[in-house]
Amino acid sequence: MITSYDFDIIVVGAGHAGTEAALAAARMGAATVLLTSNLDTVAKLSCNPAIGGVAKGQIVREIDALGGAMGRAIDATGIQFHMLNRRKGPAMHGPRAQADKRAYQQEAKRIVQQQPGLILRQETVEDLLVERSGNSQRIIGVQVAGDAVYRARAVVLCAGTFMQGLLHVGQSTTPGGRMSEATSSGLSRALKQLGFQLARFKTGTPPRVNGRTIDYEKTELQPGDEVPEPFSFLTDKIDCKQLPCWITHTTTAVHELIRANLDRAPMYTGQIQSTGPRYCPSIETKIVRFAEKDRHQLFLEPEGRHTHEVYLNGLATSLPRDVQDAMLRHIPSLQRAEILRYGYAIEYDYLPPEQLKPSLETKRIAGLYLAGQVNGTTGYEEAGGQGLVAGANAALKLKDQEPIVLGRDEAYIGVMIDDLVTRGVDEPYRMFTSRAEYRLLLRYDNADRRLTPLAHRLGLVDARRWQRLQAKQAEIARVADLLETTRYGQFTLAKMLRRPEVTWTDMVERLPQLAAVSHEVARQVIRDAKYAGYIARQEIDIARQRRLAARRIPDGFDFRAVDHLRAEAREQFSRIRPADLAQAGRLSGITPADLAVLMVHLEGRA
Amino acid sequence: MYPLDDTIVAVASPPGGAARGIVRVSGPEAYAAVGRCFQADDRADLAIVGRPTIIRGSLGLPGIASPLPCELYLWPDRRSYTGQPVAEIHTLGSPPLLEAALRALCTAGARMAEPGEFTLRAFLAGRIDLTQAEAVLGVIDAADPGELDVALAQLAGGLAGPLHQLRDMLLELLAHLEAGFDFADEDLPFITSDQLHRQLDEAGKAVAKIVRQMASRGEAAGAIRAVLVGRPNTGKSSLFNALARRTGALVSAYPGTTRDYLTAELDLDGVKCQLIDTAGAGAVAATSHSVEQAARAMSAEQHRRAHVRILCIDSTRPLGDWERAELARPAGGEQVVVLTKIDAPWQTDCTQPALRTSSITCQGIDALREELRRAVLTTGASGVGVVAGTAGRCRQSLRLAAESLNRALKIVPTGSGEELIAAEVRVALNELGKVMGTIYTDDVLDRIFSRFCIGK
Repeated sequence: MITSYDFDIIVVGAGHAGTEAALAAARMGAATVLLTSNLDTVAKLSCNPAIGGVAKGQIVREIDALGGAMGRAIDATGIQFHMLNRRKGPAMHGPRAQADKRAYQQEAKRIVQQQPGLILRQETVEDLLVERSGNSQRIIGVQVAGDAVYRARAVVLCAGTFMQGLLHVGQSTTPGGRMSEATSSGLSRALKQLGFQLARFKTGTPPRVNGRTIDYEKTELQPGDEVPEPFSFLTDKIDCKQLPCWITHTTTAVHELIRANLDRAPMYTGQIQSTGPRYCPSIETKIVRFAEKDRHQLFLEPEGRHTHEVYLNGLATSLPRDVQDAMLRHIPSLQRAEILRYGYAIEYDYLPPEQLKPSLETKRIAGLYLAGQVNGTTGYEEAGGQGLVAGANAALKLKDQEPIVLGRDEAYIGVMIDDLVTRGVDEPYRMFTSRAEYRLLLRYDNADRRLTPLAHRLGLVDARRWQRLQAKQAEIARVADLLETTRYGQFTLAKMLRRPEVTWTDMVERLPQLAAVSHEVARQVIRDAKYAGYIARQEIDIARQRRLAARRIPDGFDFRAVDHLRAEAREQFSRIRPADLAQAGRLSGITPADLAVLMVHLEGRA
Repeated sequence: MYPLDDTIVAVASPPGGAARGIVRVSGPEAYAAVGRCFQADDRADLAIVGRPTIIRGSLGLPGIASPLPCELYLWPDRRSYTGQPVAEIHTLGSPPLLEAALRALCTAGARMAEPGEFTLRAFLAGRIDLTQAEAVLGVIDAADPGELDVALAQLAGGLAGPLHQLRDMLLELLAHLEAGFDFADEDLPFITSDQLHRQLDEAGKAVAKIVRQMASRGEAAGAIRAVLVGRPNTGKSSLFNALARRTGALVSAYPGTTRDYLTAELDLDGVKCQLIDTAGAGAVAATSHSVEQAARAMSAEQHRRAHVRILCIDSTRPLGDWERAELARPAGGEQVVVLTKIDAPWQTDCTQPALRTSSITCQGIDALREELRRAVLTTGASGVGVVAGTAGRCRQSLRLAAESLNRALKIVPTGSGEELIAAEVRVALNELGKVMGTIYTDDVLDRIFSRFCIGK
């Protein structure tokens, strides 16, 4: 007999994308179930024990501003907080924290368990249930192992690296989604049967060692910030005691050893065929590609407060076990180090993301959404950001409302999703600030001002967060107005503050009542002022893009019927099927004239 | 994509020396922009024009001493071709003058129209139907890259190299800055503010140099220049007159500050070119310089400016050193070798194939015309119309790039943020991209990953 359960939304996979997706859907009032094949690995930090970084930290702040869990979880469980790029301008600052891995997982799981309207359940999903009517197909649920089905009107698939995962350590290969965890073959098969294209990527992870066997005398200490800055807009202060990290280096002897063993390296024997990320290469790749470097930096990062396990960041590898052991013998600080887990590479299936709409719903199957690594990205933050948007859009779909599509000028999450669905990926996609053309607007510190109002309208954030933002916004407006209307000599204070050399102290000297302004509000006013000139220039471009984005291209529009398009443009448009003229213009190889032809045709139809 | 609420300007008359030249402006600021260059004879105020009107007046153009008489056609909102305020300046069809008018209007708030932009606006205003609009845009779309190549080749000639170098320099600089932002804790080489300053300065100077070089070629942007090259008393001027007379061209003398020269518009069976003879060679030769030195100096100047060289050799004298050198030198562009005065006794030892001409008997003049026509076509006469528009757009882009680099340079000493410098460099690269193809983030990332070992 088959048991059946009914929900509004099913989320498959409880990693970083899945947890944010399920939480967002539930916050918006959808009856949601979060299915995971292992309840003990909810929000697991599979690779490095850290959250945030440049551009990634901005994404965490955006997730938080939209009511997500990642910021709160890391604030509660961080063991070292560090603001990157502090010497550069504020738009380049990127918060990062080392996490206590186990504690982080528990905290995220607690947030999930506390969320009203969300049920967490251990199940292994084996198939997708789809209903066909005429030419269209829609998702109606999933089938799980053990004769049970879950029915719902929307499914968010967040399978991470679990689809046809294959682990490599030296010449030995093992099927698995992570080391010692089973892979899923049912989902890949189901997606292929539904007509989706799948492709494969590779990523890797370094060995972990016992910290008690590291010679710390031979390393360089890397402490956290003296005043740690929280990730969540709801956290006032980080009080915990911070742990240090350490820096050490590889040696030429290590490099020689690796070169001597390249014939046993899966990356170079042809055993691994798929593309890995260029920004996160294995140590063997670094040594082959940058042969002239005589040493590479390694970061020794503790995995938690209550474990001696230390992550060797920078030493990702799939070399055989004996080479991994021998490598450490040639690094002075790690000469005696004992490996707790060996490094490995993993190849996995992903779904080339041009098959998705900007809402992250698949173009092929109505109601089926994909988020996270399964879309060809890497990173907890990138996954979380997609998950939140996919979950929210699934909930909006059930209410028959328009999906949210964050603009490239509104959020790094918007840049990421637009890049994915418009340009696709040719290596695992990680966020960089250089991907965001309007990054001066997208500061980590103003994510709440950018996104919480939208989240409030959608019901993604609670009253407490909304009230906090409103109070802050009112105070910022008051102070900005004060500066705008106070003259000093021939200039207003606002104008003076725009000059690079002018500080807040200069403001307070001229207008003493400013001394009472809170640190956070002053910071917002200052940063807004310093970038004001640049932002004004960018806004002309942003307004243009918005007007183009307002010209929607109807679903199912036949690009092949536009006679005068170049063949190449017609091919590109037909493949990606852009949702509006702005997206159409961002496709690679599209000229302004192509866009003009398309525009003329669309207007001609109307 | 073309923004629809900018004010755009373009030459609307057919390319290559029509008698009447038309410059068309469309957009909300059309009247304001025209008003800054145009003076009506009766001092009428453009702002109060409510219906289609023609106003006589003159244009004040920078660098041109006397006001240029013209007629201004005005179409207020809705009734115009584009449904926006449109102004047309009808004046002489001289390419340099039309270029000067475009420049003045761009300074006054308009921007150069992209190909097909007027058509797009006309369609959206309901002035032309879908089929017409699609056909026009489709043609532009198909032809665009080819035309751009032709235009760049003509316009830039030797500038394509420097432009690529400049772009490369800026990309490299940007990759350095971006690597510093996105890979904060990698041990990457650090770019000092001195290095930054030097590189920005260098890039700024490179832009300025390209702008200067382009300006000196700009005069010729509207026409192919065929220059008569040769030693004094070779019979160049007679040949010039023979060619000009044959075509019924108007010959005009331009008084120059350093030397006088003659130009004539040649119509070679529908293919137009500007024929140039330097008439002052004799005067220069009479000074302390030797004849050979003067000829060398002249030749260098002419060679720089010529699209087609007509190398004239006197058939009544043996070859001089200069002539031998010129004949041996590989021609940079199109070159036609001509033996003059073949009606007189033959003395030359020239063995190279050459057209034999006589300006007195007119022997060989038709053959020369035919040869010139071929050379002009090979040089790319068909691209002339495109060149004028492209030249304008290039100049505009380079000007904006230069402004950005200048702002970036000013940020360096304030130490107020490399991200602001990067923003300016990006603007400059985008502007160059309009001339030579778009840069995407992936190009910058490719450079970072190929140059730096990233991989924490």
